[in-house]
Amino acid sequence: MEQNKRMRILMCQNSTEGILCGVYEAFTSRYGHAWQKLAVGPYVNGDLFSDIYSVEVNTEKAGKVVKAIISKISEEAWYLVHMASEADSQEKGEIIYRFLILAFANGRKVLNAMSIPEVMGLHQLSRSVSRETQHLYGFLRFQELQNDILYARLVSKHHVGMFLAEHFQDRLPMEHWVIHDVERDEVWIHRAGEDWLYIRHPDFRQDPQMMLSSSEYAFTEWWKTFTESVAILERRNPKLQMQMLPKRYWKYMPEMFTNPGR
Amino acid sequence: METIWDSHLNEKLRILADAAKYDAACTSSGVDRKNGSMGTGNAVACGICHSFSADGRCISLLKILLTNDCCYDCVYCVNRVGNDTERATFSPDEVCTLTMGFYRRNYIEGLFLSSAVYRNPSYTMELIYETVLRLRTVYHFHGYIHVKAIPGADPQLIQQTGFLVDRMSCNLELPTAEGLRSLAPNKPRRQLLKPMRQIQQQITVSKHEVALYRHAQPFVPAGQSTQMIIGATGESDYQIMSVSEALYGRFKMKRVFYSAYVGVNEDSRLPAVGTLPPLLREHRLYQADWLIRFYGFKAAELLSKRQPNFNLLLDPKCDWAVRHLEAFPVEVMTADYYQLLRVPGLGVNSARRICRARRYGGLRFEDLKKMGVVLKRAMYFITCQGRVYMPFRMDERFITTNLLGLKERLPENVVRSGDTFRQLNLFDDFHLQMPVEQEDKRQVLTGQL
Repeated sequence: MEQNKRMRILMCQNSTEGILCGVYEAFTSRYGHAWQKLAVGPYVNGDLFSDIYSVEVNTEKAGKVVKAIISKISEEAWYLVHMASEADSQEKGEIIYRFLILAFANGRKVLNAMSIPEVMGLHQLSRSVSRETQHLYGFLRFQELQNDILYARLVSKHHVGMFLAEHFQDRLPMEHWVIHDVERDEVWIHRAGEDWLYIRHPDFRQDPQMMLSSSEYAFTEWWKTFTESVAILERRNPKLQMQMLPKRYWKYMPEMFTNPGR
Repeated sequence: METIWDSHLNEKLRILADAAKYDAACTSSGVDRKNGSMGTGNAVACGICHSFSADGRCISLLKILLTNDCCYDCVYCVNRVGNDTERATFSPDEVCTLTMGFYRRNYIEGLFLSSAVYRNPSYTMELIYETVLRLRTVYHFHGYIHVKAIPGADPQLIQQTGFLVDRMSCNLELPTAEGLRSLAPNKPRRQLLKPMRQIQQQITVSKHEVALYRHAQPFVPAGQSTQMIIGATGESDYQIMSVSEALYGRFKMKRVFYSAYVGVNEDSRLPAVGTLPPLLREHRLYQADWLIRFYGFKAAELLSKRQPNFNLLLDPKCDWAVRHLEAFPVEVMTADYYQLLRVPGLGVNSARRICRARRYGGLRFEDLKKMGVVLKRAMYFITCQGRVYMPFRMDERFITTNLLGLKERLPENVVRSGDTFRQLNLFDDFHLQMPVEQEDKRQVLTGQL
């Protein structure tokens, strides 16, 4: 009888909340972990032997899972799951699901078992997200618009906008700023002295590039002057520069953008 | 807050950033400070790199001199009074404008303000103090600030500045007192060490105060650092490492930086202009520096009077390990953290991971690989639950040959400089590694070698 059971693929929304809801469904369905898979939408390749169920996003359910992770495993586990859930990966849902099965059964000590593929997989995923976040803490560039708004365009592999917003919330609390994820078309907006807001598919009435402030030119030029003269020519080394600052970040960095491969 | 384009400021920036470029310290690490929702900026303990210049070095701070108009005549320095170079001086306001403008655009992590000695040390220090004070109180800047303490300046000024900045540094310039005497006549060693000692003492006092009183102002919370020029004078690596060990121990330095000398001045006391900077040597010194700071090594273990320089072919840890095979192999399951750190190929990350993972269960070589531990060096020096990776001879010469066969991943700048082992005399360097044995001598005589 067991043999004839069909595989279930739980298709969840590509977001932290979505994945957590998928986990909630998988654990509460009592269908058996061996017969379920977690996949991240919007499209999933099914096959003849499995059924695809799509999972609705429900904040309350996601919240319950977060609470369970923190109380039954640890804060660190929640940090890792959160980071990993923002990764650019098709398998992240499944990796998080398999990790949580193991971790709910064994408690916080599984995080140490880095030789277990499920655990190592989660560590790797979260590490690559946090590495890109750290990079962008430095490589993100703001431009000043008229009315003193700082506007940054973001291109990233992983979905790190929220982590950046958190960082700049503390760094530039008395500024109005906007971080615009150009490819995913999402925006994090911050008003001086308030908390940031998240907006999907923003509707800019005017291209922000058209309304740069008058001091913007001076600062980008000074910055270019600075970066050029601070380099020691006897040690010139474009390859090392490229290794430390990969080309995919160059697009919106004024010092690289206008003067590629100096 | 409109700022208009100013080409004079651009010129100044070009000259004074150029003059500051030989300073190695561009780190923004060591202090975690929340903004507290006022003003601009915070500081992150691990430091953030904002860009990388054409030489591949990290740009984290706006690294400039306040002025390059110097009254000293240090032989190795571009800005010595006798040199005919362009001179410029920033006003405190200009420095503030640049810092704030750059910081808001997320170009930089903070300011690194150094200066030539303009008129006299105290006058220069006062200018630096004034700039930093403006930045903190008028512009409400909470980001990272690193300034130079000018040797010979009034201690009162150094102390006041220390309460405003995150890091202070005072360059040792050259590793030995003799070197200083010949190349930097205006900077006797005693005068350089005085502000260092003062800053260190003040840091200690301030740490107590901060622990006791909630509103006590921290003094230089990210600690102090210093820098030495490598290759301008004839010191051995052993002398240099002993000096840095003393600086870490007695002066509680956070970092000692080594900067390979780039020939800028024509002088009989210096290497000729156009000599390549000794980048591989600089790299070995940094490696050894890490061994001393994080791996529990002593300078005297790595080098000795008989072997005063690092082996350029092998990194310092491998070099130490093959000379101390009696300490190996180390059992991964039982060795303590510091024993693991002494294994070539295991770094802080790997050692930590092993310590964590072995609590959960037994580790095999496959498990180590899965955890991301690189075994190509470590395999000769560890056992996993009593097993070796593969049978081999535990023999100095055999292991050395195998380690030399591995291609060491040197940083790009070292590879490019042409200062790599391919151009060195392999035979000469082997003597550093292994003394000539009686048998070798016989073989040479009989013509076998």
